Amino acid sequence: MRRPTGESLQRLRIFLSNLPASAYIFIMFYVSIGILIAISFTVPRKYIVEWSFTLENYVRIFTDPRFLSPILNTFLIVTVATILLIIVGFPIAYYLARVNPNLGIKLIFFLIIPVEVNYLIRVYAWRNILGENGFLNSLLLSLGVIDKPLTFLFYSWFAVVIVLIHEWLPYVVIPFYVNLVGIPRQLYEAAMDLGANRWQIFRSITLPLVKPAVLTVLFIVFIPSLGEFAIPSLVGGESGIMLGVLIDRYLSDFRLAFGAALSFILLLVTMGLSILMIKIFGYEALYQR
Amino acid sequence: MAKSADVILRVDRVSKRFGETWALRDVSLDVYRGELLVLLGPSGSGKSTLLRIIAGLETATSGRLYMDGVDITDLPPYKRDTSMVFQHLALFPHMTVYENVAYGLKIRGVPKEEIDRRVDEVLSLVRIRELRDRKVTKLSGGQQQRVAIARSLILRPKILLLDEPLGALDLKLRKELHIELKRLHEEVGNTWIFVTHDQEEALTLADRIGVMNEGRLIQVGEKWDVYDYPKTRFVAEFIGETNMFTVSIDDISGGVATGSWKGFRVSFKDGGFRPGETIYLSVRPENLHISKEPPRGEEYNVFHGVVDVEVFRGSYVIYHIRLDNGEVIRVTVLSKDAEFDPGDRVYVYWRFDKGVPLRE
Amino acid sequence: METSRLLKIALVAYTAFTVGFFIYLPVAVIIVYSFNDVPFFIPEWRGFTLEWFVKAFTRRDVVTSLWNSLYIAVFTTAVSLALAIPPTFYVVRGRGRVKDLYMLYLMLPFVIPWIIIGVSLYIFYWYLGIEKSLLTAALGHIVYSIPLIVTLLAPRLYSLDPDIERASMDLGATPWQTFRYVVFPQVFPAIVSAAIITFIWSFDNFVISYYTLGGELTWPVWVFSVIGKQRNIFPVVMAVSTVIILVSTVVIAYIVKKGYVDIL
Repeated sequence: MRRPTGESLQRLRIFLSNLPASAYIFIMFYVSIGILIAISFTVPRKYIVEWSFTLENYVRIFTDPRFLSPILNTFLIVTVATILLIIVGFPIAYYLARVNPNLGIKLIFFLIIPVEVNYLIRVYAWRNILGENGFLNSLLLSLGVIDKPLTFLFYSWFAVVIVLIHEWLPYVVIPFYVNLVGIPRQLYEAAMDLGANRWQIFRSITLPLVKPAVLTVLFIVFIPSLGEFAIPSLVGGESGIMLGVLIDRYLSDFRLAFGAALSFILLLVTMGLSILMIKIFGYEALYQR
Repeated sequence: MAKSADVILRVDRVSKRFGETWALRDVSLDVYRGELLVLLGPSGSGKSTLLRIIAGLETATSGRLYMDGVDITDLPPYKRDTSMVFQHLALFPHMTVYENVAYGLKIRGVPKEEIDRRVDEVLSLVRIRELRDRKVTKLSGGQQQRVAIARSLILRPKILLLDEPLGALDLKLRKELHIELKRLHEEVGNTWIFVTHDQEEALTLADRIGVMNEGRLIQVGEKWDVYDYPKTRFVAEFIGETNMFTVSIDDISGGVATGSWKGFRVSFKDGGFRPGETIYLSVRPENLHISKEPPRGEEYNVFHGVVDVEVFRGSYVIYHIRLDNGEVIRVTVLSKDAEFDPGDRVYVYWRFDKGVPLRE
Repeated sequence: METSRLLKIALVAYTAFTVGFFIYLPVAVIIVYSFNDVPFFIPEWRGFTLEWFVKAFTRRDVVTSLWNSLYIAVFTTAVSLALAIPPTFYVVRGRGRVKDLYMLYLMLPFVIPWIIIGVSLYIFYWYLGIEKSLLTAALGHIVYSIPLIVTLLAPRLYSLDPDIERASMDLGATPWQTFRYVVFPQVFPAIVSAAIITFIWSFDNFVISYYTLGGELTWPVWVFSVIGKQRNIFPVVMAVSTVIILVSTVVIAYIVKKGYVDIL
């Protein structure tokens, strides 16, 4: 049946059908990132780009504590939030997957509903809960736990962490849920039969087998959060400042070279972390889902 | 095979209910030390449930279990001296062969040197020592099988439970592993309970067979006994091939019962029957004979018919004979004696005592 | 077993509390306070009103921004589906190093923070002198939604049996007919769910839109531009959110119930 040119025809067809998407990504992503990187090595000028190579932007970023501390702050906040997310989200997924699997699917659906409200609005709604006159403070005041409102609850890194947990919790629960549901029941039974108690089973079987979900969470939560700027600018105040806020400040001020340099640092960091995570968890964790 | 009547496990009137359905009804069974007992039955017969109750993975609704005389009914699985090889093996996918096999000992806090020694020992026993550090997910079906057995055997369980462990393998590999399992059982010398729905597997492996259906244990015995003297139609038809005749008895004399089956007269050994009773007579195809001449002697039942179909099976041939009353029966003949062709008129006969009369 | 029951109760309580506090509380606040008779946002109940709903849908800036979001989301979903389906097949069916590298090439926009896509396009448009508009924002969304769709569709395609396609071709169908009549019906539910997720993502995206929009704003960007700056706007925003959550819940429930999509 196959004509002599069949194979190369097939190749041509694959090539042509992939061309539009590939070209699109090339121009809109790789070329524009290329321009961004190029500009980050030009002299910092407002409103214009002066094409002469310099490392000035980077030197300033890595020597001036005004830049370094938001960068470190970003890591601190996102790391804390991710760890808390896993701590908070895993038992929920474990409950949904193990204790009552039928109900699980329905509850997952309910987890997704709140996401339909734009996150900026939900973020802002936290003001009513954590703010100086918010519910939490009024509750604590009326219970007599405190005698004046807590101010660290809002416009602080604490608020950023809480809101990040709010924003990402469904995206942590779902991968863990899918992962846990996928572990055959027989594995637990086999471990029990071989003499393991509940805790030993959890440590030796459950935990190692949810590694893929941890990797997923790092990719869909940790990495994107590093670039977050709406949340810290809405609820972060000074202590909750993050790299994204900094980038936006310089861009709004039209100091493109500087903003570009900060962006490139963020890009390098996220790519470096991605590679590191794949190295640690193993490439196959991505497929093991 | 000499078996002492030393009971290692007594299953005493165990029943199990899942919601509205009874998976096990009043099952009692003695398992002897060192034997290989096969629980045989169709799917849904309750055989796996019984095995899981013995392992402690399910709890019985009623009834008790005794191991070496000690009541173990309420012990959790990890406190029982049994170990299970699962249907889909349930190897831990994130571990190597070594880690899988060492798991049970590690959990018990056995020192590393001893674990190493025993892992090597048991891997040699199942002949996969060279695979020690491989990932289990990278092994073939037969190799995974051996890892699963090694993982259980390393704990030196009093009873090894095997839940259709060969189900997923192809026929050729299964046959190889049957021989291997027989050897392993002889070498290890502990008690095995093996669950399967495959009667050929049961006959190959078993010392004794327990046949189950619809939650009941119908018959237990040495495999020859179960094959030659089935207690019910179900057992006769489930194990091996058979011809089943529905006979209404009209005469009993001198230890021989006689009745009619669709126009033919049939005689068989009396089993305390009464005239007028209807029974089922099971006759194995290999106990039937064919010839062109009628047999001499009085001790035969003789039918007359035409060869309908000839099925060649290598060392033997199955003839489907259409009898004069229109019914078809099957007869097995060794290939060297298979001298008949479709269309030949033949006599089919068997000795009275080769028919097994069954009440139910 | 006693511990098991205790564990179960603890897990139920834990789940109820964490999900209630972290996920539902702010949403409940939004829904409840969209009916509060106060022209700004305070944690105090002063009576029921529908005023903010009326106001919301008579304000031109609100309605326009919602339409703009809808326009961008539809455009993004349609174009990126068309662009992303062939590469998904290649990623699933292809073999070898070229495929692995291609996958990395395609997936990179997916695994970096959105702000980088936004900022680089901001500079890109500026550098090329392209005037920003709804279209430029949609083009920005597509950069991310191509790999998003590949990620969503690939698992489903893995489970397709390529022999069925070979059988179809063997029976004389052209590749296009094979796709249209054999492959497409099998992957349709997956495509619908990918389309829905892409649509919702695009409708709701703030960061990329923020850097690639011109004078016309989308709903999230409009919200960002007024939130915290105009004190009396938040009740209106909450009213719109209440409507959105109601409509989208009904629509999604309907689609899920009809079995058009397979969740998870």
